[in-house]
Amino acid sequence: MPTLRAAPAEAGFKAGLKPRIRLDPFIFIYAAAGAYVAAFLVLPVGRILAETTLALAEAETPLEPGFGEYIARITWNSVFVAGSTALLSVGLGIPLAFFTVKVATPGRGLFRVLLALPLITPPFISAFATILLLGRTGVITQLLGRVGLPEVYIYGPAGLILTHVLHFTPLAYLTVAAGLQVVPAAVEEAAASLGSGTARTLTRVVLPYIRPRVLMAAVLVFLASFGDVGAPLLLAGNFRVLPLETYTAFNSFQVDRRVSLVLASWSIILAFLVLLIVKRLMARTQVSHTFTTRTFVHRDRPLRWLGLGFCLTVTGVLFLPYVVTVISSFGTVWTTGLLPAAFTLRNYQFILTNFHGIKNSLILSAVATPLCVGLAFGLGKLFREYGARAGWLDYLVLLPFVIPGVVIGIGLVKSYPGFQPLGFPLLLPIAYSVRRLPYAVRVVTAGYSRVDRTLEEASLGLGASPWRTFWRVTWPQLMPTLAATSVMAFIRIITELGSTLIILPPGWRTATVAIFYYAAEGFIGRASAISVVLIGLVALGSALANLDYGRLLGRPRARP
Amino acid sequence: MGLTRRRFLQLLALGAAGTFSACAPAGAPASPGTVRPAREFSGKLVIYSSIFADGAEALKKGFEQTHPKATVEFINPGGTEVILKRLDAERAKPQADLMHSGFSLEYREAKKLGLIEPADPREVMGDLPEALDLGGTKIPLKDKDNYFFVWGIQFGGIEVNTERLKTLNLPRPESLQDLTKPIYKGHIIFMKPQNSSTAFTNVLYTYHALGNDDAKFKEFWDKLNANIAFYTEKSATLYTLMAKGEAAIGIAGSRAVYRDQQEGYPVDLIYPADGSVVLDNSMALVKGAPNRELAVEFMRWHLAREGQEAIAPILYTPVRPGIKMPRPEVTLEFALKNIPKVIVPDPEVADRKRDEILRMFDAYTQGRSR
Repeated sequence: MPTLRAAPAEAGFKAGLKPRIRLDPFIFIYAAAGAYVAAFLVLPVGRILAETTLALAEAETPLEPGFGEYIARITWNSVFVAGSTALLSVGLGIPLAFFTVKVATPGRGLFRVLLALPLITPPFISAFATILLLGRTGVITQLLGRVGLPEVYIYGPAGLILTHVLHFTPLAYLTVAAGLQVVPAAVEEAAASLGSGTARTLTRVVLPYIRPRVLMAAVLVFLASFGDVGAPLLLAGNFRVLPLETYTAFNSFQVDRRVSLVLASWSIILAFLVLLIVKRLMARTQVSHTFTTRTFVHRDRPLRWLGLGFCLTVTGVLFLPYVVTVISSFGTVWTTGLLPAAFTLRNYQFILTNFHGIKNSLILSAVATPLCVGLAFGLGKLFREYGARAGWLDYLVLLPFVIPGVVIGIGLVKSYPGFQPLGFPLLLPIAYSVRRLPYAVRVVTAGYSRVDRTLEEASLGLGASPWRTFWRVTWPQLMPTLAATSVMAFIRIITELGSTLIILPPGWRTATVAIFYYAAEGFIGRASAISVVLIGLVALGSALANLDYGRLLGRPRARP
Repeated sequence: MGLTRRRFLQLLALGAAGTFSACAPAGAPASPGTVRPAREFSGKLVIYSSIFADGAEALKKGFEQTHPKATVEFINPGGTEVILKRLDAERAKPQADLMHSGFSLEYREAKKLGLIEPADPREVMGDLPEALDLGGTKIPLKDKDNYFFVWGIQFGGIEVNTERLKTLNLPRPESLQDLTKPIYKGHIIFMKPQNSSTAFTNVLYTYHALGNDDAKFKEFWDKLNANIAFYTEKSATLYTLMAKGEAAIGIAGSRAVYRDQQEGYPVDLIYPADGSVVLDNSMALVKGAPNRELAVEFMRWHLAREGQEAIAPILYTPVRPGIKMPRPEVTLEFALKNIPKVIVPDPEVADRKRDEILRMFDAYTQGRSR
């Protein structure tokens, strides 16, 4: 990491003055962020990989014949599922974002909140909802059967892709929507004044403008799907995917330790390759932004109603799993009927007497979110200022996307045994902050890309210090990113399971762990009820975070 | 009211017994059949267990009632295999006192890995015999080197979803051999023995059921594998899918099936004519346990009447005879009467055949990965 940097004002060179070398004032922030990543990501994961490499080196027998073919097959399977999911999610996310950002669709504020909800649900609950809907005895399967249509077989790629699309489309939507919010109105107004219609402006002007965002949405969904273990645990059937095989190889004492190393290393290499390709593509399609607060909003009546119809349909489909989760939360057992055998409130009564899981989740997430967001802002600024020279760190930050949480958990416990300062299980929030860092860094990097450099240069040129420039010029432009990153990080943190299972200290069982226990033990109603309460609480928090307090307090709002 | 001579002598005897008890050395073993512990224990006991949450709650409540100054924390990291991983990761500074649940074959692995340590069987087992006699079949209740102790048992069998069988118009299978019939093709699910020790124990039992004959064993599994729709990663997933009716037949343990049945799911357990395996739920002291004394007391309590009564409502078959059970199907007496043949896994055979069995299932599961 560079430590010294030439003073930003190059004017001195031109005037023939002796160049001044001064310390970058943010160096301590970069160093702290780097040290955090080194201590809590690189060291624990490196330790696990080193131990297993040693086992590989010391092994006297070769791996089973056919292992190469097996790894090629599961790699293709994973790429196929993740690629299909990314394609479909982005395909749905773009029009959703268009209708809720660029069109005055009725209720678009509500759609924005609703569309973030699926991300709060742990993926294995989404997978179970897929079974409730489309399993051999699922509601839709039964309805199809009544009209003479055959069963849909969900134990394999179809079930995985469907679950991932329903679960990760909001991720694509949020990323694309954030991009659309900064398309300058002038660009679209110019197109319109030259006679371009809405569809043409969208495809020829707006989409090319936000192409890096679309690519980023695709890569986020690809990696989230690629690294997911929850849905394959229930739905993979005979269709083996890389993350599930890595997860089970690491968990089992009966599997050759070398297998887990090979699978984990291969996952990391693949993720790096994907990021490399996407970064190249993004660099080629990057558009220089001109800072603007005003965006163009279509107000034509037919388009608004089309938007409403589209958003209602897609949101309805995305919400089907959550509808069955809510029904299940009020049910006793749900087997082969269209509804549970009976309805009850006992699952919610259970939560009232066992609220500590939800409380623990909120406390731990509240500690982990600032850690994660702070780290992301530090790293985001580093990547912005040092570009390619800090690029390798960007790749490193990507590791938690593809390494199962269990592996990170084991690495942390081995590296910091019994680490509980003042009796607080700090290792858990640390694990969460590291696990969810890739999401936060990607959102923050996008946020920094929207900051207008000319304003910063003007501030520096007028004699303001780099610190003052940051706080008075850069930071206000980053405020929307701060809110978006915090909400995104909190949502992803509260659903983290893999590392929790390994680190969880006594008395700190989280809501996600409780959901996992009860879902695994067949108490689906109880697991659903905890999910519903969790979703409700996080949705409420997100809505509060997005409230326009200025408007509520009666201050006039700047018209977009 | 005057004190009679007889009443006075009774009180004197009680007082003497109390004084004697108070003067007994600390930690002296009490008879596990008795209700009161030898002395009060305090502190926090951390147990890594794959027992389901309600079971953990019942044990916690029971022990804390007996020892009001002690607190128990159960942590389930997601299965017995993950418990071993976690214990291994914490080897430098153990956080848990007790490893609990999972079968004895897994405890043999923990012993080999140096993750658990022995305890004095006189302290832990009291008056319990070293093995249960089930109609001539001996079920060991402890490790020969005292590393682990069995607190509850279940029996393996064929789980069926009765509604699914009816929908598919399939007959109830009566034996393991029935499962290899072509009519069941695509209707059976099983767990991966590479990840699930329940599955491994079940596979080993089929080896025993087939007379430890390698050729018959291979032929049987080749046929059964062809009928299996898919392998689940964990045993819990199998029970969940079976209860929901996603498959008609599974190979499972009795407790989960009876628990699901009690919840109202249309499932049933068939004890195969060719034998049922004993699944022995065990417990062991974690090596370097921070609160060893309390952990030993928990083990003693668990095998005493109170601890055995605590697991009765959650449908584990207690190892102590005479415990009143909520359902007759989970009593030893029922097992004795209704299970055609009880098979106890042979740990020596397990050690000898483990690699071979796992390789065989690698071929089955990897071979079907599309």
